[in-house]
Amino acid sequence: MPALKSAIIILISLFCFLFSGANAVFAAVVYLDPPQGNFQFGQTFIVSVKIDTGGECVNAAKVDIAFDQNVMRFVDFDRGNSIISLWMDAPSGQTGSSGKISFSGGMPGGYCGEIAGVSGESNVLAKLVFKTAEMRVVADTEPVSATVDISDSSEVYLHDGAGTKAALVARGAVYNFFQHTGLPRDEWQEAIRNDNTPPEQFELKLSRDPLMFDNRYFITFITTDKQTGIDRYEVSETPLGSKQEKDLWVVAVSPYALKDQALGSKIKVKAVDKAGNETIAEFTSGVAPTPVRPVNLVYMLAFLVAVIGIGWYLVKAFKKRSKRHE
Amino acid sequence: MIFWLKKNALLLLFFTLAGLIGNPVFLSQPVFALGIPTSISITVCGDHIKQGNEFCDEGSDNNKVYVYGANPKYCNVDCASFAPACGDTVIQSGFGEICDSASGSCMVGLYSGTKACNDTCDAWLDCQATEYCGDGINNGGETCDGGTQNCTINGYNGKKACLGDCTGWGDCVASDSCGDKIINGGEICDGGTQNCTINGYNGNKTCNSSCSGWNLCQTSEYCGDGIKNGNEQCDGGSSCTSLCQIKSGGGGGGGGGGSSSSVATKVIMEGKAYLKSSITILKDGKVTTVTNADENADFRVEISDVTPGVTTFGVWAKDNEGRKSITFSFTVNVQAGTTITISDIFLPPTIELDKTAVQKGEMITIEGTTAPLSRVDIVVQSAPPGITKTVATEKNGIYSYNFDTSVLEEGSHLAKAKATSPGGLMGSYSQSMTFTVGNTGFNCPKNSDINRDKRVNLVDLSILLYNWGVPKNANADINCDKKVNLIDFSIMMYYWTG
Repeated sequence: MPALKSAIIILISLFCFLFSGANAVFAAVVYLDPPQGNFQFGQTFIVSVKIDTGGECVNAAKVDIAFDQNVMRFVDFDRGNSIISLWMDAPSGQTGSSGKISFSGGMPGGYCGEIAGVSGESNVLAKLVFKTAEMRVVADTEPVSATVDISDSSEVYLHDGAGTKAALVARGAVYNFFQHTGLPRDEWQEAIRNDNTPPEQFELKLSRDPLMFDNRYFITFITTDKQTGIDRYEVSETPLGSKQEKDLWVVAVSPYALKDQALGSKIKVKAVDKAGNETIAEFTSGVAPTPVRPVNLVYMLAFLVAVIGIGWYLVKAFKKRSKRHE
Repeated sequence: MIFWLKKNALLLLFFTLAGLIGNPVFLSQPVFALGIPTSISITVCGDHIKQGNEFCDEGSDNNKVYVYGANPKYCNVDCASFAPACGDTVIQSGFGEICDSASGSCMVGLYSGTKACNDTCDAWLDCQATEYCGDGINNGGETCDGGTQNCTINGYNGKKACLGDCTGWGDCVASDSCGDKIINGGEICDGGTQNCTINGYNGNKTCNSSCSGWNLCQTSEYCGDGIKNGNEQCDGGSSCTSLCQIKSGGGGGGGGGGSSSSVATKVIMEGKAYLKSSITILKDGKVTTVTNADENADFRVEISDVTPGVTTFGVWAKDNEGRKSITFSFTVNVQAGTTITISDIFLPPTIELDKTAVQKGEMITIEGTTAPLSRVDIVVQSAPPGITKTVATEKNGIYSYNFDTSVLEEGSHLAKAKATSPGGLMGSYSQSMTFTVGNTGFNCPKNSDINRDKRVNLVDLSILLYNWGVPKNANADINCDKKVNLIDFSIMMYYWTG
């Protein structure tokens, strides 16, 4: 029965796609790939969220996904190889317990679809990693089916400089889950094992704005990872001249308000991908003033005493000379 | 005395009788009551009885010498005719009439009309036009009244309809179009495919959606398809490398060598910008290279430090006046050890307006830069298709056009431009510059450079995100709708410079 149900849903979807506005010119289509599939209970599989811009250029997207959390669990979010390079919101594995996940981001300069003649897909917004429920009742021989839907609240914006919302067609997916005696496959762990490439090199930018963080200094940073995607950023601030050998890392997001507002620290930001590969960027601009070290203080004090002494001697000598003249 | 009375008795009797007849009070009584024989016929004007030769007799109303209103008409004092009245069709100028019953001709603007006399004959009522816009007759200074005329737009044949107020012709609406399978109106193509090659592979290219040129060449041949094609030395087999080149050293067996990682992964971008302009190349939104176009506005950039995977490349230029183009970008999945060449890039023109608000009829100058000796189509519109003006650039690539805003409605409008190079390359539209005509209030500048450092980059994005929702910094609300949301983010993506 579930197989029949899936077939009917697919047929209805196909009918709607062919005979509704889905094919209308200039409608962006956000869809899930694969649109249907059979997975083993306990298996971890990856679903790509893709976009077909319908010949238009777009530059921002917000995608809301709903899935049946009784049958499948959201495990991770893969933004490696995504066409989105600036992320506003990316879910973690902990955020999908309600059966809903959402992500948003943009493509500076716009995205106008895949370039014909260049092999390799380049229309993936993100990849969702799901794990099916563990073993079901043994007597269940019929597969269980579940849908993954792209909600109507999803939005795509045209690359027109006016923030115009594109007409959007969303196409979800239907998956069947079945009992199998073999060891369930984990596509995600396979991808992580194959990822030996660290995130792209990046730079830190120091800024200050009267209307941000009470005009405190903050840093901005961003990078990409072409394989499994960025998992997190970590920041460390180590005072210059400190004997501290190990960096103290804290998980952070950009923009990050510096703790050391005197700019007397070495700032490092570490981008870590899902496989644990790291790329570190250091703050190397000459903005930070050279700190006053104790040894310098001694010299300055000695210089001050010498100046006062000479001054006192000169005043005394001048007074003596004046008396003699009198 | 008595003698005199006797002598003149007869005469006295005559005059007394005559006086009585002449007295209106007395004559209100029937004359026979006075004992005068009834055979005497006397016509009395004013007795409210039309008698004898009287034309009329309205009694005491006969005293009214002028009466207002078309009816009634009263008798004059001698019962010989009606008293002069408003409505008698005779203009009694002595009584202050300027009209009486008949209508006069008049003008409403430039249209002819008629005017009627008012109820008191002392003024004309408002003029009622008998000609008007919509009567199908060209009158009253009209340029047209209904109907259509043939015209051309962007080279396409079309028709223009008379405006609703008959003051001129509306925008030309093309009857030919991109998609009619006929190459017309300056189209490079209209449907169909052409053979082409990319990286040595045979393929074909389709006409783009605006008929302005061909899409990039698409091929189904590739290294790994088992067929020796393109520039391949081989495709498959133990002696063939993953890049379809025969392994050096010949023979079978041999050591590993020749892995794809040893061959550079490159992306080459070449095209046209502006004369000796600065060219900035972005990789995933970050500046990766800055170079210059030559004296022909041509540029070529080779990016070799590319990590395989999906990457978005962008290119924008700054002309010699400091104006920036929008970013031309493309996204490719770069395969290890391959070189992708994107050629024939033609950056959109830069554009600038000398004013952002004008009064109707004021001139506004639209100027910018593109490649030398190009044709520039400037479009001004509040809604498509707008008004198109075409100008040509000199060797410096600068264009300028003084646009007369008297043809525009009051409100907000935008201006944009696109260019066609002498070699036939057609770029996309420049950014749209908005301006207002008339007193239409505030014109949102839509400035994505939130910290005003002449760059739209990660710092601006950080400030945007910090102000997400209700803005604390008004600059973060790019579209001035008092919210910072995905719309502002989208506008920032459009103006991104990295």
